[in-house]
Amino acid sequence: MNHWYHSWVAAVRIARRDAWRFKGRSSLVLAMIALPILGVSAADLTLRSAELSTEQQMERDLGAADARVSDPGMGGVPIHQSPDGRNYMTVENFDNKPWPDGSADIRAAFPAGAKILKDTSGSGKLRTEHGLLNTVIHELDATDPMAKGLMTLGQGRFPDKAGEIAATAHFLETSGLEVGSELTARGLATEYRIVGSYELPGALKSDEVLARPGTFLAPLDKALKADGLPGTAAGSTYLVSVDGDGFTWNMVKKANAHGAVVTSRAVALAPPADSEVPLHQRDDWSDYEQSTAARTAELAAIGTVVGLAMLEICLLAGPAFAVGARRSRRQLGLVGANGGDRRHIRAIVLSGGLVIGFAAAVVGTALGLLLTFVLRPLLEDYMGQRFGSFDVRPLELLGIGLLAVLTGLLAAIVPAVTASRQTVLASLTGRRGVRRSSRVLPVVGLIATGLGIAITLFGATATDSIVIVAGGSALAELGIVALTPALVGLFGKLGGWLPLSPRLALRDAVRNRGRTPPPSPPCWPPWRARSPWRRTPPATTYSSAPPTRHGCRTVR
Amino acid sequence: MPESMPHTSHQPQQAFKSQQSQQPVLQLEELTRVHGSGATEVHALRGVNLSVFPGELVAVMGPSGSGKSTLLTIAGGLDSPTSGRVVVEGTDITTVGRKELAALRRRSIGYVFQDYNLIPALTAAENIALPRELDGVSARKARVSAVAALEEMGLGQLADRFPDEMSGGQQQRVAIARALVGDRRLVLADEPTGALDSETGESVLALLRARCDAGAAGILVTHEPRFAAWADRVVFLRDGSVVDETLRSQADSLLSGQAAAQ
Repeated sequence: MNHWYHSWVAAVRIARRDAWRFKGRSSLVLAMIALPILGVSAADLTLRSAELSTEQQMERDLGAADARVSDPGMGGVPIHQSPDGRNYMTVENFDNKPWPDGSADIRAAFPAGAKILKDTSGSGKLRTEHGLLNTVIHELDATDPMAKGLMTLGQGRFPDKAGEIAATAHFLETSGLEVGSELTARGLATEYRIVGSYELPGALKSDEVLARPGTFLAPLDKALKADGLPGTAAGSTYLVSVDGDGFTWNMVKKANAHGAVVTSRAVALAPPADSEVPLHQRDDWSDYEQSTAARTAELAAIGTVVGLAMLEICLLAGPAFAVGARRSRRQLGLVGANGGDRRHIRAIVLSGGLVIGFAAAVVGTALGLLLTFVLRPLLEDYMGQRFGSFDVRPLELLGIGLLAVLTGLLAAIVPAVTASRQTVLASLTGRRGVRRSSRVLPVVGLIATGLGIAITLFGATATDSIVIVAGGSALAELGIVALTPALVGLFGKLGGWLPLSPRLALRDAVRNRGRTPPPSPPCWPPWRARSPWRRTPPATTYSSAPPTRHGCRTVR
Repeated sequence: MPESMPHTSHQPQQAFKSQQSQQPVLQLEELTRVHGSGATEVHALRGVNLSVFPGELVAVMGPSGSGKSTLLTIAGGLDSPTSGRVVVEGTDITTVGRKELAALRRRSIGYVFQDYNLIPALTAAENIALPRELDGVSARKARVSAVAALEEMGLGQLADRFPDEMSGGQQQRVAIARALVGDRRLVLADEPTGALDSETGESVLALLRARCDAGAAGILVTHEPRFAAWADRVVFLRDGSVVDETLRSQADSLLSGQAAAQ
């Protein structure tokens, strides 16, 4: 049984072998398409790997505890909070009253029998090899089992007595100090010995020192205030561990009633339905980040950026396909002589785009994965946090790969259509078609350029929409591409004043305007192919082909 | 019959005579081709009439610019006549559309050019299978018939070779196999031996002759009288007109004379 796709099988085979035969040209186009794919797939993998799962995020936030309870400083008035604890509002409306202020009785918020670990942070200026460095001072019993996972010990050990501290690796690098060094804070005479280094997996660039509870912040705050200086601005949260099912949503709501905000592992892993979240039931609550409008705007922005990137690649790779089609014109002529019609010729040239696009997808994605894997420590340093895991998303990578294939196909469209319009005889004999430039194209280009600039200016001045600005830019760019043959033609008129070499180059560019702007119908360059029809060229003959729609005729 | 010698049997001619009652595979009627207009007008063909029957090989000879290649391109539908009819297996190809014409080339007409006949990206078998694959036949089926065609011609060992792994003569033989694959019965050969040494040229002509003896119809454009001697008939063109036409048996003296004159 005959099927149309069987002819595509032959077309893909020819394109695949041609791509292999002309490795240099294929590599060039492949690189053009594969490089952005490499970047995008590496970015996807990096971002996905940096995105933490709920369990990983909870480990970094809570260590081995079940919850972290904090005081929002609203005087202990009842509050409503979101399940993740990032958003909260007072239950009572304080629009026409003074906003509540002050500490809550946080201990009242702890469930009965819970184990508590105080976690205090403040800041101070520490003396380093290079001067004073504003540093986070953290007080926590890091040896407590509840603290496991909050920080990763690098060298030495965590402090286990007064006068000892550990410091983040970044602090040591910034300060010029090392494990074993002595350290003092401005305003405090006490010397602290650095006994270990650690890192915060979620904040690798954090300058922080860790001391036992009550051994650094309180004396420093006292000394600073005695000198009339601002204190350490210390604040505390509490890691809580409870028996049973963890810190449940009901426990969270009870803690909210005492004015405390809770981040709970159990709630994060199994969030309550919206109907059980009082905050989400309030009329004055809205979450922009999760709204449809926000997602639509984000998708439109991504789509526009991806579209622009594909346009740029097509404009770069298109001429390479055009040159390839011209070099293969004898072969395409043979296909035509053996019964290939226009769709078959188009299929062969398009298959070139398909094959190289596919290869670029494979190479780009594979290199993206490999580079991300190899450069993981550098990427983590750049991102300022450790990856949760090496998170490969096959569907997303497949989508990125499909973009490469689509780009290859798009870049080959114009060369494919142009090649298919050649007569079989012209392709076989290598006769040069002299084609007058389109008169419509420059006008269309001018209009598109003007319109694109207007839209871009409007988008930049009257709105904040990146989509309008990018869309206008794309239109203007396409307009300039359409205008290029006319512009090249205008430049060609300057050739008479130029010395021989640049004059020849300019005239050649003018005669072959099509290869300068890829989307325009190219004129064939002089071709050295031998005629298959006779060894000795005859006297001047005229092609049997009818005049083209541009009013030109093939002449030899 | 040694490959390097033109066949001496009169069997093909007898067969040719008996085929006169059959429908011609190719029929050219009052074929005219004019290039350009006004001062640049060139008459490539002037009212050419020619019929080629199954089993017949017709040689077309004439000086450069006489219209031999134009005749061949028009006969195969690669070019259109200014006036006249070209009938291939009962279909007037001057009246059919572009797609139908391409389909006719896939199914009825085969070409053999002087050189660079084969698509370099395809093996010999794939080259032969190409017309059928373009026609929508599956690659496997097309290959089976292509390999069968090669083996029938004693070229089975070339099936998986790429053109650049074959000699010029081998390439031309594969091109002849491609020209007659499937239901194709008309082979148009334009100086198929032009790029070959004389011995290889003779063997290629022997193969073409054999295919015609097996029922195909062929037109052979050549400058060489000794190659034209393989044909059943020789047609002489000059300035686009047929100036002489003779059976091979009667053309020997004419060919010798022409050869001597050259």
